[in-house]
Amino acid sequence: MGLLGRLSRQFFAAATIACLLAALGICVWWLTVARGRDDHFEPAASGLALVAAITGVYAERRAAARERRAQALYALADELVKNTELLGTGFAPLDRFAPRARVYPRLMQSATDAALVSGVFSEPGHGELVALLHRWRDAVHDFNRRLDLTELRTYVSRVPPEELLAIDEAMHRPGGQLDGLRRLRSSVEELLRGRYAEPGVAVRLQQPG
Amino acid sequence: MAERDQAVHRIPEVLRDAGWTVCLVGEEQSGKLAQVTAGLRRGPDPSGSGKLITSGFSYWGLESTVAWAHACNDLYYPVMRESIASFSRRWRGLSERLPDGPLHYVSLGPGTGQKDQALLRSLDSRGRCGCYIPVDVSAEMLRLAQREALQHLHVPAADVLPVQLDFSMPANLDRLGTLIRRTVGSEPVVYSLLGNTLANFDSDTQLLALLAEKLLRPQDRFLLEVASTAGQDEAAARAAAQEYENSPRFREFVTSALLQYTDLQIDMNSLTCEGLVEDDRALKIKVIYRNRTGSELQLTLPDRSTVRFPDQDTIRLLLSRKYTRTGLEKMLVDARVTTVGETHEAGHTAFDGPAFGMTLLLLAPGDGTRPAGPNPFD
Repeated sequence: MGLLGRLSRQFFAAATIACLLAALGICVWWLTVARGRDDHFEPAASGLALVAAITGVYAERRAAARERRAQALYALADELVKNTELLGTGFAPLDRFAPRARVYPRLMQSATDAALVSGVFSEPGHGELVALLHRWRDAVHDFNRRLDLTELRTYVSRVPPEELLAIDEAMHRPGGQLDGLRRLRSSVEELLRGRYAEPGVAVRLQQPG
Repeated sequence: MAERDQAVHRIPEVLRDAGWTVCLVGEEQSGKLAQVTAGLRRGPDPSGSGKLITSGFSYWGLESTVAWAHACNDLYYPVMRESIASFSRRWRGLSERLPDGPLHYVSLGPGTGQKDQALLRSLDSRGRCGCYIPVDVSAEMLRLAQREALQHLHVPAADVLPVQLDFSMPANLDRLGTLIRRTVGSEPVVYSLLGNTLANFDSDTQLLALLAEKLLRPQDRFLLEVASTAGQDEAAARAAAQEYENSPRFREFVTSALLQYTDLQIDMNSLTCEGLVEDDRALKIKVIYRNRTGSELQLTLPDRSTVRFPDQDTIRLLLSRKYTRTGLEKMLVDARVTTVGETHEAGHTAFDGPAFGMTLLLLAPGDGTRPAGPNPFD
């Protein structure tokens, strides 16, 4: 990788802004040293173009990033609400007296994946959310894989009721997989409600799943 | 410190005088009083699910103890009287299934001590009697039970260790388990919960599961007595409630706690027994005191605070159940205990009435072995 490849996006943004500001400064100086009335037009027009470039490009980029981040947050909030419902009622313990193999619902993670790969939280200040989303995603992936194994185990062969109950109990035990997922989900919700509580996000989090 | 140790060591000598009993108090009694007042402070509910006197406190105190002893002998309250009278016979059917060697006996809620006497007598006659440890929330009840249980028996006073403790609390059970294991070592223990006491608790299955988990070791046994019903319809529920309603002594007993913890002017006509069908597991009987004065009353509690007792509001004084066969089996599975022996006594009911009875079960801890198959959540 060459020198240019190693330089960060912030460096290029700073270099561009610095160049534009320098050019604007030159235009202002030019305006003060111009003698004739007609000679003022050129530095004035160039100065205005430079101001438009500095503010327009910067503001448009910020607004677009903000919009993309809001979309990602809405999707995360919607997914969180659905997962809240699943973790609340979707994994009811088996009936102790008539245990049967069942197909479990899967926790959703597409919005989390999209939020992570889109880079909308790559700017400084979102480190905590990104780390938490990674932990949440890994936990959901692990849990869903265990559900796959459970269904394979319980559907492919004849499993005695004690074994079905033992699997169910292990899933529901305090400090177990479900417990851990519920705690992580609460942490994500707390962070979204606290630091990312834009009106749209708050409204979505209040909706029933 | 050395002198204190000596005083403790002198207790067996002191106990040779029949007038003395030693009692270990396992928890702060003021905390228990706070529990009673909290139950009586609950919000108004005309259906009997608001204010209540929780199980155990109906027997807490001298008046309640005396009233309970009277109720057990009431000719109009045959359930308890017949249950006591037939206990020896029912126990004989199970005693053969006990582990060999000396046995220690822990009686949870010993009541009047008559059933404990029958059990201890049977152990004593075979020379298998170990320590006797009655456990109850009421010190008065313990003294009464101990006197009755040990009559004409050869149990040395130093082998009797009454414990005043609420055994429905998990932390207390941990401490009780430690105390019992320190006292008896690895020798087997027979625990008992007799007289349908289990049915007095809202979470009966959880309590049985807790007792089995915290106390029972593989060598121990648990003797459980519960009331049973063959029928499970509205008529049976009404008949079950009627059993309690008929007895004046029982009515005195259930209201004795009200008399003790409130300044309520008690009107016996305000007492009702309601029979309900509880899913497919039991008939549930609630003994309720209802404000029928037509106006709001103020109750003064032991801490001198007052609570509103509006017209038609209720105080639940007692909860009881009669279990169906299915309900009982489900409860035992849920509590992870297995039945080693069982006797069933058909009740005293008329030929055209529902059949109520008493079931005595000898239980052992479940084998606790885990299935060998792979478990993705282990």
